Amino acid sequence: MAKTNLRKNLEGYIFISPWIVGFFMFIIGPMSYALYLSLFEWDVLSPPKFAGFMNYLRAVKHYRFWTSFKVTFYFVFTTVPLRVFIGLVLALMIRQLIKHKLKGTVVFRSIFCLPIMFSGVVLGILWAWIYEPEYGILNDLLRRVGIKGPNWLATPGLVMPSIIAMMGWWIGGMMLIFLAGLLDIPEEMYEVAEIDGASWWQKFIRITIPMLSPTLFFNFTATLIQSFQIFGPIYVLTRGGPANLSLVYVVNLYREGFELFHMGYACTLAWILFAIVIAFTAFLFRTSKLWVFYRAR
Amino acid sequence: MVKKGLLYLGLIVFGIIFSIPYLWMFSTALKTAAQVLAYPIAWLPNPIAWTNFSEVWKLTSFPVALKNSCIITFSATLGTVFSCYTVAFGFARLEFKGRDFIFMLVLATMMLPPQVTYIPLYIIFKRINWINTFKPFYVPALLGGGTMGGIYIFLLRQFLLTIPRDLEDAARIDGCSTFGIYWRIFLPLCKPVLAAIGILSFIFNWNNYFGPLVFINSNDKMPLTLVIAMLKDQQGVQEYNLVMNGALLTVIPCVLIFLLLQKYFVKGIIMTGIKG
Amino acid sequence: MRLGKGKKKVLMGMMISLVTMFMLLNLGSYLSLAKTKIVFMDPCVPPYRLQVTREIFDQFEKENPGIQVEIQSTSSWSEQRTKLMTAIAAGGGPDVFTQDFTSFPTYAAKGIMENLDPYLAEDPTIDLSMFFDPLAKGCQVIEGRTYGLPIMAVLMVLFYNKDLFQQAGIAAPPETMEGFRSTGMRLKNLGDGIWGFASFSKVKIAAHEWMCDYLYPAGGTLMNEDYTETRFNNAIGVEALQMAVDNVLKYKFQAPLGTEAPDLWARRKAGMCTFWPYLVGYTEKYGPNINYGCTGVPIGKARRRITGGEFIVLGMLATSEYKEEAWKLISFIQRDDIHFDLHKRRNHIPSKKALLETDYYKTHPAWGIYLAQLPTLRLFPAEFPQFLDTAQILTEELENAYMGVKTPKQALDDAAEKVRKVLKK
Repeated sequence: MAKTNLRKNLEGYIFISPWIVGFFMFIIGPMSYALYLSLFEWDVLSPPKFAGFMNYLRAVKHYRFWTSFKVTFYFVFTTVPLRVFIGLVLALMIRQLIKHKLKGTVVFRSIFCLPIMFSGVVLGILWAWIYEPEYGILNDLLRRVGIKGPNWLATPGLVMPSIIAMMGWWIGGMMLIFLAGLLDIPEEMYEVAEIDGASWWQKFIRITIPMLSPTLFFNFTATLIQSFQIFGPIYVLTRGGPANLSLVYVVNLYREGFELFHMGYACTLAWILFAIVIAFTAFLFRTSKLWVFYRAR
Repeated sequence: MVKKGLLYLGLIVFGIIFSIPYLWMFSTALKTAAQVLAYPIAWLPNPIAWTNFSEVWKLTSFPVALKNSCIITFSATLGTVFSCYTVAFGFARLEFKGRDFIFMLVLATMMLPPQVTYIPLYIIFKRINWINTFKPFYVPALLGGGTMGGIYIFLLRQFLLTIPRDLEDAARIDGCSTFGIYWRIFLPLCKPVLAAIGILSFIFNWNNYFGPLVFINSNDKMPLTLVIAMLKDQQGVQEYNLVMNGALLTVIPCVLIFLLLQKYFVKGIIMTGIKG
Repeated sequence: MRLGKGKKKVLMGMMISLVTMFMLLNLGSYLSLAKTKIVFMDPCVPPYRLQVTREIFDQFEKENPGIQVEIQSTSSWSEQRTKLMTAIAAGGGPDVFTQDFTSFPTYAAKGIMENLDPYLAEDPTIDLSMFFDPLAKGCQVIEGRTYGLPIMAVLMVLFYNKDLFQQAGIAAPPETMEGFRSTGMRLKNLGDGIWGFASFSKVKIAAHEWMCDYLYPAGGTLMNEDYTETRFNNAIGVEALQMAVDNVLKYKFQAPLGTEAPDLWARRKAGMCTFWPYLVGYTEKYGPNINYGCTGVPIGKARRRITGGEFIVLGMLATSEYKEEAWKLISFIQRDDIHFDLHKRRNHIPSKKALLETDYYKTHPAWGIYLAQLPTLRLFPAEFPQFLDTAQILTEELENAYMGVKTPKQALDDAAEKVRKVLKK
């Protein structure tokens, strides 16, 4: 019994209706207000002053905008591959434990997931302390081996790598999702391959990766988007300094809006970021047709 | 044999590297104030200040803050999981006009930095008198998962797309309605992902700082995240040991939920056998 | 049923007395319904401060039976600013609130704060002359009109570790900047990871730190008289920065960027330290038995002591619906006895001259010294509209100089160039 188009459309819309309502109430509203505000100079305390595209011009001319751009791109293109890689490796290892019914699954899974259960603020405080040049545990460990540890968060070449290392610790979520994806791959596929004499590398390339591709795609995209928006841990760790060495985009946005009272300009920055991230995501989606494999379509 | 050994070796090495930071945190949580800044660095607290727990408990009115955190988090998480599954099912398994375009919109919502939306949202919520209530947290969650909703919908959609069409076709031939497929067939298959989303959403809501900061005014409605930030001493100095202790107490419910939901990963494998 | 006249009267009497009794019983709640509620916002952390403030405001409520005060507490000044901004954006806001001095002129200029001159004129119990001159002037931000009242002074003094001084054979803390360097180097030569001087910290921005420690003592200034040109990159400024950078990079007795001065101080690894009142409590908690003393910041080429700092402003919301009640609270807080009680129990430095004479502040080893420096206080020039932007730019370039990435002259010139662009708009 074929469904009429109307029936199909109705059904579809009923299912996504909660999101549509939420979208209009909590997203369209604030987002369009932010777009509207980006055309004004507003310090929150007095009425907004119309400024047309001045804010956008200002962004393009502002040195801090370009610095934050550079820093953010550096950050995104190192953390995303790093975190996806670490998350995948750990998930693969845990899956091996589960498959062969070995002990320690819960223990190891918990160890790797524990970092994400702390709030970003606590994370920043903890790692600020770990990196402390005189009394942090990292330099203490180095001291025991005879090396004088540098000033991790105040030496030009070391600030960003230190932050990236901290982000590499925060992969619990990614690992969980990879694990869910891996566990979803039917066991039979591997058994059949083994009967045919496939090596572990072949099994990995021919079975795991393709079957995992939707999850890989998701993790890549989600991490990309989140990395562009990173704020909490970095703000607490370095406030974007020193000398703007770790000034990621949203830290600059927060500073302009909430510390320097340039809220209209902050909205401009938000929409510019939005446009950039959409561009990247659209690109990822286009190219995904080449390598992502769905079973249902 | 060798493979097993290598596997464990790898896991243990990674495990140690991952554990050091929070073992350090636990150790600090049990130190006295004087010990916190001791030099050479004291890796283990001595004496162990178990009283830190009761001090934090008292200073932060822990039971009240805990209750608030629970209300916000449980309501928001349940709302998110339920609503995201529903919406993702719509995008993944149903066909309707404008579906792909609207899905792009969903993705787009993930990309706006939340900081700029807080002030407009505050103004909206003030008008409808939602400020200083918990509504700003669970209502958006029920209506599409709130700020993080886009990601969960995306994830669930990816997952649902991997389920072969034959399963659905077979069910329809047996006379199953769309709702039946949604509720009775696909839902159990999604347990690992739903568990993952439940954990992630729980953690996000439990640790949400900026939201409560902006939308909650009175001290007796503040959740744990806000209250821990107030653990400062005499001159407003951050008390490291108490803050770490507070963080430790705060993380316990997260860990419990995590351990609870981990089981569903295993259950999911058993279910997987039915597929394909 | 017909009632006789007499019985009707009795019935009426009963009803009247019942109603009267009912009204009398509920009078209490009617009265409370008639109470005005005003909101007070301030960072009352840690919890004991909230308690102290609540107790003192309970006394206010007793003295003013028609008014109820609700305290909204935040956990830091930046949180306070965020909450204040969101509340005002939505058209509301607390009736009485505190703000740090660097944001205050912006608030006043935007019309958020109520002009207090009319209230001051009417109220005989308060007068601006009761406060230290620099603080009182700081409140008269717009064409001499008063938009707030000072409380909680925040300034820097020099802490010195008496034990380390003794070990290094130094008799007394340095009075001048010349003596400062030699003292610092002698302390550094004690070895064992000890620094002569520590000042950098996460709770200070580099611009404030440099202004207080080096620029002001050298007689330098941030901007010119009418805030149209920068002055921090003139000869005096460059020399002052060169001195600072040399102390860090060349003579190496000042702990470098990235270290936390309070930590070093509490671990007895810093012979000298300039800091806000914050350090007093920090020392009590983390370095309880340190034998230390306080004195004013060293005197530089300006030939007189100049202490950099700021204060907290207590103000009223311009759009408040209960201005009379709000003023009552403000004048209550500024009453000598309440002002003393509040500041002593909350461990802040007061702003009223009269308190210089109290025994408590005369004899307190730390607070007393802070209070004694107030006459030499020079406030940050927060009243010029682009101060916040300027301080931010200056901080970034100073950090470049401290890391050795740029020379002092380069750093200051670059900062001046960027500030010029900000001023042009």
